[in-house]
Amino acid sequence: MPEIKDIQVADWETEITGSKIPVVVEFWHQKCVACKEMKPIYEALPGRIGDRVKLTRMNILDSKENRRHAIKQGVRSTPTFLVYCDGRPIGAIIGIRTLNEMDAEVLALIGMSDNCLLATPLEEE
Amino acid sequence: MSLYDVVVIGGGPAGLTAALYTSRARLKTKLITGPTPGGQIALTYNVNNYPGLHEPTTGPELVERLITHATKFGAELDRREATVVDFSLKPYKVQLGSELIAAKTVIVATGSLNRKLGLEAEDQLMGKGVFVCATCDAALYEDLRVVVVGGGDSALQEALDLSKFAEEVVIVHRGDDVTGCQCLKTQAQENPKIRFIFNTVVTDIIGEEYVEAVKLMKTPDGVVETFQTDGVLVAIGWDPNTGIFKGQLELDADGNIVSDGVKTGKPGIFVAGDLNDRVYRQVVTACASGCMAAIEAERYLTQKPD
Repeated sequence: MPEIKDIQVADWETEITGSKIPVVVEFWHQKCVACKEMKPIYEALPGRIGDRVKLTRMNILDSKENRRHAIKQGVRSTPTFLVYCDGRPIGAIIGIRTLNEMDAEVLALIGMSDNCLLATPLEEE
Repeated sequence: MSLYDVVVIGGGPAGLTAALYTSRARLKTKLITGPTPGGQIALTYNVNNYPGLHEPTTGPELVERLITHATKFGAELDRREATVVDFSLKPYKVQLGSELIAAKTVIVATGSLNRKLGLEAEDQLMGKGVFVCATCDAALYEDLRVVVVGGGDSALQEALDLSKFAEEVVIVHRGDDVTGCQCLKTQAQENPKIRFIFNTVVTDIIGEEYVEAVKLMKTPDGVVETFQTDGVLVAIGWDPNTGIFKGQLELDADGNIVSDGVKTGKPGIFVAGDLNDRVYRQVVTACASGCMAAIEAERYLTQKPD
Protein backbone atom coordinates (compact mmCIF):
# COMPACT_ATOMS: atom_id res chain seq x y z
CA MET A 1 0.00 0.00 0.00
CA PRO A 2 1.61 3.32 -1.01
CA GLU A 3 1.93 5.92 1.70
CA ILE A 4 3.19 9.47 2.24
CA LYS A 5 6.89 9.72 2.90
CA ASP A 6 8.17 12.38 5.31
CA ILE A 7 11.32 13.87 3.83
CA GLN A 8 14.10 16.24 4.81
CA VAL A 9 16.34 18.30 2.54
CA ALA A 10 18.95 15.55 2.67
CA ASP A 11 16.44 13.22 0.98
CA TRP A 12 15.71 15.58 -1.92
CA GLU A 13 18.19 14.07 -4.37
CA THR A 14 16.96 10.55 -3.81
CA GLU A 15 13.25 11.16 -3.42
CA ILE A 16 12.56 14.00 -5.85
CA THR A 17 15.39 14.60 -8.31
CA GLY A 18 16.06 10.91 -8.75
CA SER A 19 12.45 9.76 -8.86
CA LYS A 20 11.32 7.97 -11.96
CA ILE A 21 7.71 8.90 -11.41
CA PRO A 22 6.12 12.30 -10.64
CA VAL A 23 6.37 13.44 -7.05
CA VAL A 24 4.13 15.65 -4.93
CA VAL A 25 5.81 17.44 -2.02
CA GLU A 26 3.61 19.05 0.60
CA PHE A 27 5.36 21.89 2.44
CA TRP A 28 3.61 22.13 5.80
CA HIS A 29 4.06 22.72 9.50
CA GLN A 30 2.22 21.88 12.69
CA LYS A 31 1.08 25.43 13.52
CA CYS A 32 -0.66 25.87 10.19
CA VAL A 33 -4.42 25.44 10.54
CA ALA A 34 -5.00 24.87 6.85
CA CYS A 35 -2.32 22.13 6.89
CA LYS A 36 -4.25 20.40 9.64
CA GLU A 37 -7.38 20.57 7.53
CA MET A 38 -5.56 19.12 4.54
CA LYS A 39 -3.92 16.28 6.49
CA PRO A 40 -6.73 13.71 6.15
CA ILE A 41 -7.28 14.69 2.54
CA TYR A 42 -3.62 14.38 1.58
CA GLU A 43 -3.34 11.14 3.52
CA ALA A 44 -6.20 9.71 1.49
CA LEU A 45 -4.36 10.34 -1.80
CA PRO A 46 -2.00 7.33 -1.69
CA GLY A 47 -5.00 5.01 -1.81
CA ARG A 48 -6.38 6.83 -4.84
CA ILE A 49 -3.43 7.92 -6.99
CA GLY A 50 -0.45 6.42 -5.17
CA ASP A 51 0.22 4.12 -8.10
CA ARG A 52 0.78 7.11 -10.40
CA VAL A 53 2.68 9.55 -8.22
CA LYS A 54 4.95 9.48 -5.23
CA LEU A 55 3.51 11.46 -2.31
CA THR A 56 5.87 13.14 0.14
CA ARG A 57 5.85 15.98 2.65
CA MET A 58 8.41 18.27 4.25
CA ASN A 59 7.87 20.01 7.59
CA ILE A 60 9.36 23.48 7.22
CA LEU A 61 9.75 23.88 10.97
CA ASP A 62 11.80 20.68 11.32
CA SER A 63 15.01 22.53 10.45
CA LYS A 64 16.44 25.74 9.08
CA GLU A 65 17.58 23.74 6.06
CA ASN A 66 14.01 22.65 5.32
CA ARG A 67 12.75 26.25 5.63
CA ARG A 68 15.44 27.60 3.35
CA HIS A 69 14.81 24.88 0.83
CA ALA A 70 11.08 25.65 0.81
CA ILE A 71 11.82 29.34 0.27
CA LYS A 72 14.23 28.42 -2.54
CA GLN A 73 11.50 26.34 -4.16
CA GLY A 74 9.29 29.45 -4.13
CA VAL A 75 7.00 28.35 -1.32
CA ARG A 76 5.43 31.40 0.31
CA SER A 77 2.40 29.88 1.98
CA THR A 78 1.43 26.66 3.73
CA PRO A 79 0.23 24.23 2.75
CA THR A 80 1.77 24.34 -0.71
CA PHE A 81 1.86 21.16 -2.78
CA LEU A 82 4.52 21.26 -5.47
CA VAL A 83 4.45 18.67 -8.21
CA TYR A 84 7.76 17.55 -9.75
CA CYS A 85 8.53 15.57 -12.84
CA ASP A 86 12.09 14.60 -13.73
CA GLY A 87 13.13 16.68 -10.73
CA ARG A 88 11.61 19.85 -12.16
CA PRO A 89 8.61 21.65 -10.67
CA ILE A 90 5.64 21.57 -13.04
CA GLY A 91 2.98 23.18 -10.90
CA ALA A 92 1.70 24.15 -7.49
CA ILE A 93 -1.48 23.69 -5.51
CA ILE A 94 -1.73 26.27 -2.74
CA GLY A 95 -4.19 26.05 0.12
CA ILE A 96 -7.23 23.94 0.88
CA ARG A 97 -8.85 21.54 -1.56
CA THR A 98 -11.39 18.74 -1.36
CA LEU A 99 -10.20 15.19 -1.97
CA ASN A 100 -11.71 15.14 -5.45
CA GLU A 101 -10.14 18.48 -6.30
CA MET A 102 -6.73 17.28 -5.11
CA ASP A 103 -6.94 14.13 -7.23
CA ALA A 104 -8.02 16.05 -10.27
CA GLU A 105 -5.50 18.89 -9.94
CA VAL A 106 -2.52 16.63 -9.36
CA LEU A 107 -3.41 14.40 -12.30
CA ALA A 108 -4.16 17.41 -14.51
CA LEU A 109 -0.76 18.95 -13.76
CA ILE A 110 0.97 15.69 -14.60
CA GLY A 111 -1.11 15.17 -17.72
CA MET A 112 -0.39 18.67 -19.04
CA SER A 113 3.37 18.54 -18.62
CA ASP A 114 5.75 17.48 -21.36
CA ASN A 115 8.10 16.24 -18.67
CA CYS A 116 5.54 13.77 -17.41
CA LEU A 117 4.56 10.92 -19.66
CA LEU A 118 3.11 8.99 -16.81
CA ALA A 119 -0.58 9.69 -16.77
CA THR A 120 -1.38 6.00 -16.61
CA PRO A 121 -0.85 3.76 -13.62
CA LEU A 122 2.60 2.27 -13.25
CA GLU A 123 4.94 1.01 -10.61
CA GLU A 124 8.16 2.70 -9.63
CA GLU A 125 11.15 0.54 -10.30
CA MET B 1 -35.31 17.29 6.61
CA SER B 2 -33.54 17.28 9.98
CA LEU B 3 -34.91 19.75 12.50
CA TYR B 4 -32.61 21.22 15.15
CA ASP B 5 -33.42 23.27 18.22
CA VAL B 6 -30.38 25.39 17.49
CA VAL B 7 -28.23 25.76 14.40
CA VAL B 8 -25.00 27.65 15.05
CA ILE B 9 -23.40 29.06 11.91
CA GLY B 10 -19.73 29.78 12.53
CA GLY B 11 -16.85 27.85 14.11
CA GLY B 12 -14.87 30.55 15.89
CA PRO B 13 -14.79 31.03 19.67
CA ALA B 14 -18.30 32.58 19.67
CA GLY B 15 -19.92 29.76 17.72
CA LEU B 16 -18.03 27.06 19.60
CA THR B 17 -19.05 28.55 22.94
CA ALA B 18 -22.68 28.93 21.84
CA ALA B 19 -22.77 25.26 20.79
CA LEU B 20 -21.22 24.22 24.09
CA TYR B 21 -23.94 26.04 26.02
CA THR B 22 -26.90 24.91 23.90
CA SER B 23 -25.84 21.27 23.73
CA ARG B 24 -25.15 21.24 27.45
CA ALA B 25 -28.71 22.54 27.87
CA ARG B 26 -29.75 19.39 25.97
CA LEU B 27 -30.89 21.30 22.94
CA LYS B 28 -30.37 19.48 19.67
CA THR B 29 -27.54 21.53 18.21
CA LYS B 30 -25.93 21.63 14.79
CA LEU B 31 -22.60 23.46 14.70
CA ILE B 32 -21.63 24.53 11.19
CA THR B 33 -17.96 25.47 11.11
CA GLY B 34 -16.91 25.27 7.48
CA PRO B 35 -13.69 23.41 6.63
CA THR B 36 -11.42 25.45 8.92
CA PRO B 37 -12.93 25.98 12.37
CA GLY B 38 -11.40 28.46 14.74
CA GLY B 39 -11.94 31.85 13.20
CA GLN B 40 -9.35 34.58 13.62
CA ILE B 41 -7.87 33.09 16.77
CA ALA B 42 -6.74 30.03 14.81
CA LEU B 43 -4.37 32.38 12.98
CA THR B 44 -2.80 33.68 16.17
CA TYR B 45 0.62 32.50 17.28
CA ASN B 46 0.27 32.80 21.04
CA VAL B 47 -2.83 33.51 23.08
CA ASN B 48 -1.69 35.53 26.07
CA ASN B 49 -4.90 37.11 27.31
CA TYR B 50 -7.44 34.34 27.74
CA PRO B 51 -8.15 34.02 31.47
CA GLY B 52 -6.73 30.86 32.93
CA LEU B 53 -4.55 30.08 29.93
CA HIS B 54 -1.33 31.42 31.39
CA GLU B 55 0.83 28.64 29.95
CA PRO B 56 2.02 29.24 26.39
CA THR B 57 -0.93 28.30 24.19
CA THR B 58 -1.17 28.76 20.45
CA GLY B 59 -4.36 29.83 18.73
CA PRO B 60 -4.78 26.41 17.05
CA GLU B 61 -4.34 24.69 20.43
CA LEU B 62 -7.08 26.81 21.96
CA VAL B 63 -9.32 26.03 19.00
CA GLU B 64 -8.76 22.29 19.51
CA ARG B 65 -9.80 22.64 23.14
CA LEU B 66 -12.88 24.67 22.24
CA ILE B 67 -13.94 22.10 19.63
CA THR B 68 -13.48 19.23 22.09
CA HIS B 69 -15.50 21.11 24.68
CA ALA B 70 -18.23 22.18 22.23
CA THR B 71 -18.81 18.62 20.99
CA LYS B 72 -18.50 16.98 24.40
CA PHE B 73 -22.19 17.51 25.16
CA GLY B 74 -23.46 16.30 21.82
CA ALA B 75 -23.32 19.25 19.41
CA GLU B 76 -23.06 17.89 15.85
CA LEU B 77 -20.03 19.50 14.26
CA ASP B 78 -20.41 19.89 10.51
CA ARG B 79 -17.48 21.12 8.44
CA ARG B 80 -19.52 22.03 5.41
CA GLU B 81 -20.30 25.64 4.53
CA ALA B 82 -23.74 27.13 4.98
CA THR B 83 -24.37 28.43 1.48
CA VAL B 84 -27.96 29.70 1.61
CA VAL B 85 -30.32 30.58 4.43
CA ASP B 86 -34.06 31.17 4.35
CA PHE B 87 -35.31 33.03 7.40
CA SER B 88 -38.68 33.99 5.86
CA LEU B 89 -40.69 31.25 7.56
CA LYS B 90 -40.31 29.06 10.63
CA PRO B 91 -38.68 26.68 10.99
CA TYR B 92 -35.74 28.52 9.47
CA LYS B 93 -33.79 26.76 6.72
CA VAL B 94 -30.05 26.41 6.16
CA GLN B 95 -28.54 24.85 3.05
CA LEU B 96 -25.46 22.68 3.61
CA GLY B 97 -24.18 21.41 0.29
CA SER B 98 -27.01 19.33 -1.10
CA GLU B 99 -28.68 18.98 2.30
CA LEU B 100 -31.31 21.35 3.65
CA ILE B 101 -31.73 21.46 7.41
CA ALA B 102 -34.32 23.21 9.56
CA ALA B 103 -33.82 25.20 12.74
CA LYS B 104 -36.08 26.48 15.49
CA THR B 105 -33.39 29.01 16.37
CA VAL B 106 -30.21 30.16 14.65
CA ILE B 107 -27.09 31.68 16.17
CA VAL B 108 -25.10 33.58 13.57
CA ALA B 109 -21.41 33.72 14.45
CA THR B 110 -19.75 33.88 11.07
CA GLY B 111 -17.10 36.35 12.20
CA SER B 112 -15.25 38.60 9.87
CA LEU B 113 -13.05 38.39 6.83
CA ASN B 114 -9.69 40.06 6.42
CA ARG B 115 -10.19 43.34 4.64
CA LYS B 116 -8.29 43.62 1.41
CA LEU B 117 -6.37 46.52 -0.02
CA GLY B 118 -8.46 46.24 -3.16
CA LEU B 119 -5.51 45.93 -5.53
CA GLU B 120 -5.65 43.63 -8.54
CA ALA B 121 -2.22 42.20 -7.76
CA GLU B 122 -3.33 41.34 -4.25
CA ASP B 123 -5.44 38.41 -5.46
CA GLN B 124 -2.98 37.39 -8.16
CA LEU B 125 -0.10 37.17 -5.69
CA MET B 126 -2.02 35.76 -2.71
CA GLY B 127 0.02 32.86 -1.39
CA LYS B 128 2.94 34.04 -3.51
CA GLY B 129 4.16 36.76 -1.22
CA VAL B 130 0.85 38.33 -0.24
CA PHE B 131 -0.49 36.83 2.96
CA VAL B 132 -2.64 37.53 5.99
CA CYS B 133 -1.33 35.21 8.69
CA ALA B 134 2.14 35.37 10.22
CA THR B 135 1.48 32.27 12.32
CA CYS B 136 0.93 30.31 9.14
CA ASP B 137 3.63 31.69 6.91
CA ALA B 138 6.25 33.63 8.90
CA ALA B 139 8.80 30.82 8.62
CA LEU B 140 8.77 31.18 4.85
CA TYR B 141 10.10 34.71 5.13
CA GLU B 142 13.24 33.80 7.04
CA ASP B 143 15.98 36.34 6.33
CA LEU B 144 13.68 38.21 3.95
CA ARG B 145 11.99 41.62 4.11
CA VAL B 146 8.24 41.87 4.69
CA VAL B 147 5.95 44.89 4.54
CA VAL B 148 3.08 44.80 7.02
CA VAL B 149 0.22 47.07 6.00
CA GLY B 150 -1.82 48.48 8.87
CA GLY B 151 -1.41 50.12 12.22
CA GLY B 152 -3.73 48.39 14.69
CA ASP B 153 -3.26 45.54 17.15
CA SER B 154 -3.28 42.94 14.40
CA ALA B 155 -0.62 44.66 12.32
CA LEU B 156 1.63 45.03 15.37
CA GLN B 157 1.13 41.42 16.50
CA GLU B 158 1.74 40.09 13.00
CA ALA B 159 4.89 42.21 12.72
CA LEU B 160 6.17 40.86 16.05
CA ASP B 161 5.47 37.28 14.96
CA LEU B 162 7.19 37.87 11.62
CA SER B 163 10.25 39.36 13.30
CA LYS B 164 11.09 35.91 14.70
CA PHE B 165 12.05 34.88 11.16
CA ALA B 166 12.25 37.86 8.81
CA GLU B 167 15.36 39.97 8.41
CA GLU B 168 13.34 43.17 8.40
CA VAL B 169 9.68 43.98 9.01
CA VAL B 170 8.42 47.34 7.78
CA ILE B 171 5.07 48.51 9.10
CA VAL B 172 3.42 50.84 6.58
CA HIS B 173 0.54 52.83 7.99
CA ARG B 174 -1.56 55.61 6.51
CA GLY B 175 -1.79 57.50 9.82
CA ASP B 176 0.95 59.36 11.66
CA ASP B 177 1.09 56.82 14.50
CA VAL B 178 -0.03 53.27 15.13
CA THR B 179 -3.42 52.77 16.71
CA GLY B 180 -2.73 49.46 18.45
CA CYS B 181 -2.39 49.01 22.20
CA GLN B 182 0.57 50.46 24.03
CA CYS B 183 1.90 47.04 25.04
CA LEU B 184 2.27 45.89 21.43
CA LYS B 185 3.43 49.31 20.27
CA THR B 186 6.26 49.32 22.80
CA GLN B 187 7.31 45.80 21.89
CA ALA B 188 7.37 46.71 18.21
CA GLN B 189 9.28 49.95 18.79
CA GLU B 190 11.88 48.12 20.84
CA ASN B 191 12.28 45.33 18.30
CA PRO B 192 15.41 46.00 16.22
CA LYS B 193 13.98 44.19 13.20
CA ILE B 194 10.84 46.35 13.01
CA ARG B 195 10.61 49.85 11.58
CA PHE B 196 7.72 52.13 10.74
CA ILE B 197 6.77 54.17 7.70
CA PHE B 198 3.86 56.52 8.52
CA ASN B 199 1.56 58.70 6.41
CA THR B 200 1.97 56.25 3.58
CA VAL B 201 -0.34 53.97 1.61
CA VAL B 202 0.39 50.94 -0.56
CA THR B 203 -0.93 51.72 -4.04
CA ASP B 204 0.30 48.64 -5.89
CA ILE B 205 2.05 45.31 -5.43
CA ILE B 206 4.61 44.40 -8.04
CA GLY B 207 5.75 40.94 -9.05
CA GLU B 208 5.47 38.47 -11.89
CA GLU B 209 5.59 35.11 -10.17
CA TYR B 210 6.20 36.37 -6.63
CA VAL B 211 6.04 39.67 -4.79
CA GLU B 212 9.06 41.78 -5.62
CA ALA B 213 8.09 45.27 -4.48
CA VAL B 214 5.30 47.60 -3.49
CA LYS B 215 4.46 51.11 -4.60
CA LEU B 216 4.30 53.43 -1.61
CA MET B 217 2.63 56.82 -1.79
CA LYS B 218 3.23 59.49 0.85
CA THR B 219 -0.17 60.86 1.76
CA PRO B 220 0.63 64.53 2.24
CA ASP B 221 2.38 65.10 -1.10
CA GLY B 222 1.47 62.11 -3.29
CA VAL B 223 5.10 61.18 -3.95
CA VAL B 224 5.33 57.54 -5.04
CA GLU B 225 8.33 55.29 -4.58
CA THR B 226 9.03 51.65 -5.37
CA PHE B 227 9.98 49.73 -2.26
CA GLN B 228 11.61 46.31 -2.60
CA THR B 229 10.07 43.58 -0.48
CA ASP B 230 9.68 39.82 -0.49
CA GLY B 231 6.30 39.75 1.18
CA VAL B 232 3.25 41.85 1.96
CA LEU B 233 1.14 41.01 4.98
CA VAL B 234 -2.20 42.81 4.90
CA ALA B 235 -3.62 43.64 8.35
CA ILE B 236 -5.93 46.58 7.77
CA GLY B 237 -8.99 45.29 9.59
CA TRP B 238 -11.99 43.13 8.87
CA ASP B 239 -15.31 43.16 7.14
CA PRO B 240 -18.30 41.30 8.58
CA ASN B 241 -18.88 37.93 6.96
CA THR B 242 -22.56 38.44 6.31
CA GLY B 243 -22.90 37.78 2.59
CA ILE B 244 -25.37 34.90 2.92
CA PHE B 245 -27.65 36.93 5.21
CA LYS B 246 -28.39 39.72 2.74
CA GLY B 247 -32.14 39.94 2.29
CA GLN B 248 -32.68 37.66 5.29
CA LEU B 249 -31.54 39.88 8.16
CA GLU B 250 -31.34 43.65 8.40
CA LEU B 251 -27.80 44.82 7.61
CA ASP B 252 -26.35 48.29 7.97
CA ALA B 253 -24.36 50.08 5.27
CA ASP B 254 -21.14 48.32 6.31
CA GLY B 255 -22.73 44.87 6.16
CA ASN B 256 -23.08 44.48 9.92
CA ILE B 257 -26.19 42.73 11.22
CA VAL B 258 -28.46 45.22 12.96
CA SER B 259 -29.10 43.91 16.45
CA ASP B 260 -30.05 44.74 20.00
CA GLY B 261 -27.32 43.02 21.97
CA VAL B 262 -27.35 39.46 20.66
CA LYS B 263 -30.93 39.69 19.37
CA THR B 264 -31.59 40.36 15.70
CA GLY B 265 -34.87 41.72 14.37
CA LYS B 266 -36.04 38.16 13.56
CA PRO B 267 -37.44 36.17 16.47
CA GLY B 268 -35.23 33.21 17.36
CA ILE B 269 -32.22 34.45 15.41
CA PHE B 270 -29.26 35.66 17.42
CA VAL B 271 -25.84 37.01 16.61
CA ALA B 272 -22.51 36.54 18.41
CA GLY B 273 -18.80 37.17 18.17
CA ASP B 274 -16.69 39.54 16.10
CA LEU B 275 -19.49 39.77 13.60
CA ASN B 276 -21.35 41.91 16.08
CA ASP B 277 -18.41 43.59 17.83
CA ARG B 278 -16.66 46.55 16.33
CA VAL B 279 -15.08 47.62 19.60
CA TYR B 280 -13.49 44.85 21.68
CA ARG B 281 -12.85 41.90 19.35
CA GLN B 282 -11.19 39.66 21.95
CA VAL B 283 -11.45 35.88 22.26
CA VAL B 284 -12.98 36.28 25.67
CA THR B 285 -15.62 38.75 24.46
CA ALA B 286 -16.43 36.48 21.51
CA CYS B 287 -16.91 33.55 23.88
CA ALA B 288 -19.02 35.73 26.17
CA SER B 289 -21.36 36.82 23.41
CA GLY B 290 -21.63 33.19 22.24
CA CYS B 291 -22.73 32.31 25.74
CA MET B 292 -25.27 35.15 25.80
CA ALA B 293 -26.72 34.16 22.42
CA ALA B 294 -27.03 30.55 23.58
CA ILE B 295 -28.85 31.54 26.74
CA GLU B 296 -31.19 33.77 24.74
CA ALA B 297 -31.87 30.91 22.32
CA GLU B 298 -32.65 28.59 25.21
CA ARG B 299 -35.02 31.18 26.75
CA TYR B 300 -36.70 31.71 23.40
CA LEU B 301 -37.30 27.98 23.01
CA THR B 302 -38.67 27.73 26.52
CA GLN B 303 -41.11 30.55 25.85
CA LYS B 304 -41.90 29.70 22.23
CA PRO B 305 -41.02 26.06 21.69
CA ASP B 306 -42.52 25.96 18.18
